[in-house]
Amino acid sequence: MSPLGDLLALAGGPPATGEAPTGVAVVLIGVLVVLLVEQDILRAARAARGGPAVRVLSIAVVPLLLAFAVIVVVQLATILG
Amino acid sequence: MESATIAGRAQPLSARETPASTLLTLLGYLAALVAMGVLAAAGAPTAAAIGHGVLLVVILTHAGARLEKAKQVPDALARGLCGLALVPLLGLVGTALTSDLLPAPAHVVLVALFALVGAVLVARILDLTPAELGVRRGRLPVQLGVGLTGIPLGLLALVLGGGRAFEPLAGSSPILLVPAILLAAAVQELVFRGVLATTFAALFGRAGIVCTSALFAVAAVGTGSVGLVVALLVCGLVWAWARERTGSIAGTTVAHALVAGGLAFLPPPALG
Repeated sequence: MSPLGDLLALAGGPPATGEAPTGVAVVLIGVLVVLLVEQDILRAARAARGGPAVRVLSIAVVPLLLAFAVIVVVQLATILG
Repeated sequence: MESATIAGRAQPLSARETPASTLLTLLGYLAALVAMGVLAAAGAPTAAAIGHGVLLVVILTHAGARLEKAKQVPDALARGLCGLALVPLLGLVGTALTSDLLPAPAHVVLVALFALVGAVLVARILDLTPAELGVRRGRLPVQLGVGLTGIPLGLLALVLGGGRAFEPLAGSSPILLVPAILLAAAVQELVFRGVLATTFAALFGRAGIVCTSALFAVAAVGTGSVGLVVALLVCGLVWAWARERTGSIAGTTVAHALVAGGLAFLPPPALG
């Protein structure tokens, strides 16, 4: 993949060549955003912080955040290296 | 302050007491997981990832809604759903960090680590103890016996599905691959024979073994090898039974590592 493709992928834009791994990485980021928004809505809906529903979402939020961090680091290393 | 656990234990239900709607709900999720695996096997990883992502959000929202309703004592389905969410999570992360992005051993290690994080979070939220998850040594001779089931089961997996599923691992250095396989086997046992076996046993009693094994096999649908799915279903049934009988995942981890190691390093046997 070209450096432009990597940059577009990092920005969440369409991959230059439409390669599958970039597309899947964008999906991962999308799912993560949906979960974070849902978590935020649930938090806002309750006066107190949390509740079981908020905590349950963290089952996916934490691993996906870590996976996102790995994707960013690997893509950056690809661009710089 | 946010509590780390949801207090209270779900009452174990026998298969007879489990409402048909619960079974239908889980079968629906299982069918959706199979569909995502078929998409991945058909060469549409992005579509499969979208499906896994949607499924992940739906399962967690479903579990959260039931836990909110339950307040004090979460029902068995809510607990089962929390465990079930680990399967699409594994699917999504596994596809996102796939071969083009990372070398094969690094991919195996990272996916295992993220699955471990998910499993630990489920265990904390559901207040599952290590003993309940099967994280204990058990009796050494018995666990050794369970571990040795990996040899015939590994041969079965090689005969039925070898050579395709583990193709991306070909050419990787054994020095890197062996620890990666050991870690992945331990984490997958924690997920399937630990978290899922415990939560599904509370839902279906002994029939939970079949559900857990089906989910274990379904996770391999994306490899596109029907033989491997069948072999892993057999592995899942044997290991889930062994875990239920012995209360430990030590032996099943050894057996799992033997099967995975066989698939990674041995060529498929020439038949006929």
